[in-house]
Amino acid sequence: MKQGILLVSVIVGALVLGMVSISGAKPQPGDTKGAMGELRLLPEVLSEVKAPTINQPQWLIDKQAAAARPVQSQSATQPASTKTFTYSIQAWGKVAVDKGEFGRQAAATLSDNRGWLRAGARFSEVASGGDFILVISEASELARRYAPGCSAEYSCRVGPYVIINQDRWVGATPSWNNAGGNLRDYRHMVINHEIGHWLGHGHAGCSSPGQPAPVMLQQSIDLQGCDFNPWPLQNELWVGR
Amino acid sequence: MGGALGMKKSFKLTKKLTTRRIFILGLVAAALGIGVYLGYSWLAWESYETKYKDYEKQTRSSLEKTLQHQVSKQYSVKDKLLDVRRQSLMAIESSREACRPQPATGWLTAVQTYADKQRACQKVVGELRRWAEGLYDSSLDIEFENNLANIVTAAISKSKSAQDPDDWASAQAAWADAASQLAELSTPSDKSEQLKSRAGTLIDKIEAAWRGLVDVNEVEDEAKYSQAIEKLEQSYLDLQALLDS
Repeated sequence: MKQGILLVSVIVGALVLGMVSISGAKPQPGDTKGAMGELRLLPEVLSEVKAPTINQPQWLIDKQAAAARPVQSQSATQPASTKTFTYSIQAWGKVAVDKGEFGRQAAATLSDNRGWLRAGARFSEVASGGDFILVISEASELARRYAPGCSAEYSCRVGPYVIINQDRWVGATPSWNNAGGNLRDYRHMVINHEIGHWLGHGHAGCSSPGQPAPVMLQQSIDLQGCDFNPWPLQNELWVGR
Repeated sequence: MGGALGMKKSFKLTKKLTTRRIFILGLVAAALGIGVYLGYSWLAWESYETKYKDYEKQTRSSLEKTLQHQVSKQYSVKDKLLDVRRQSLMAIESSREACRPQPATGWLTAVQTYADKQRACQKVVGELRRWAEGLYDSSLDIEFENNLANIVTAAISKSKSAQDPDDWASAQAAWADAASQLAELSTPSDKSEQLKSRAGTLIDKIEAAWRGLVDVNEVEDEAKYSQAIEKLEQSYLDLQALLDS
């Protein structure tokens, strides 16, 4: 009888032991970086974080212009000082225009005695980088990168990028064409206008109908009664840089 | 009288025989029961190794399958994170039972052979559980990171066209809004808490830089304008390097 009781005790004890949870030490997290990496959105988002290009406020443009004007007034044709700016050329998007030819025509405009050279600005092309980048861009590419500051309709200047819209380079604008302007003059105008922005100029209005338009007038949109004019006027001959 | 005495003796003998018989039958039954129990225990431990290995293989396979499921338009990052979390949680829960012996056979771990089997199981299942716990923790941290990414994306989107002075105040408001949203995000771990703290500081810095630009524009201070632009650009660069620190 005693043996029976002993046996039952052993069995019951064993049952209790068997039911006890087996707990190990607290495990450490394993290496899961590789497996989970593709689910992380933050690295890609951060790689695209950049400050927007800030346009100079008008008061600043005016101040810089005012500071530059006394220098220019010393001589209308001989600038008091000459500054040389370097630039390189890029093509953005699907560009049908010959980049070399674009560069040659732009260089011709920039070295023309009727242009910014009169304000003491000389320009020298470099292979890459430079003070600014002169870009011939597919229209949609321009909008894709800088809308709504820039549009697919016109050319634009954003920070160091002086961007010429391929569509305008090839066909000017209805307003320009309707006024009887030729394509070469339009190209002079658009180069001078956008580089004028880069030099520190804001937009100008038509002083009076029948007068030559300031090069900083938005001649691609509306001549406002002025005559088309690809070159900076006497009162525009200053450099804000 | 004699007959009655004889009957009494006969009854006593019968009772003695019956008690003995019952005792013997009980012993036989107990021996049989023990035999059956020992057989059951032996079989249970013989299949123990196969069972936990099958469990480990199946659980690992399900987790790997979930991890390999490609994200697409129909199966978003959010869906996948949810699946990973669900699967890993199931693995963590089930691992707690995976090395438990069959009912009423645990006492046999007193035998070295079975104790070794259980230790081997605990090692294999322990590794699996650690992996599952890592996946679970990572899924929570990544979810926090992705919420932070959405906040930053929204602020960038709202402020990227703020090129002209008239738009600078709205850019400042966009980053102030981002800071508020981040403050409301709960963090699943110390790691995420640290990330939240760093991101908060950098987002505040961008908001302050925009505010500085708005202020400078109001007073039209040329020297301070240049400094404000530099601060703005630097604040964005700092946020870009958030994960580098």
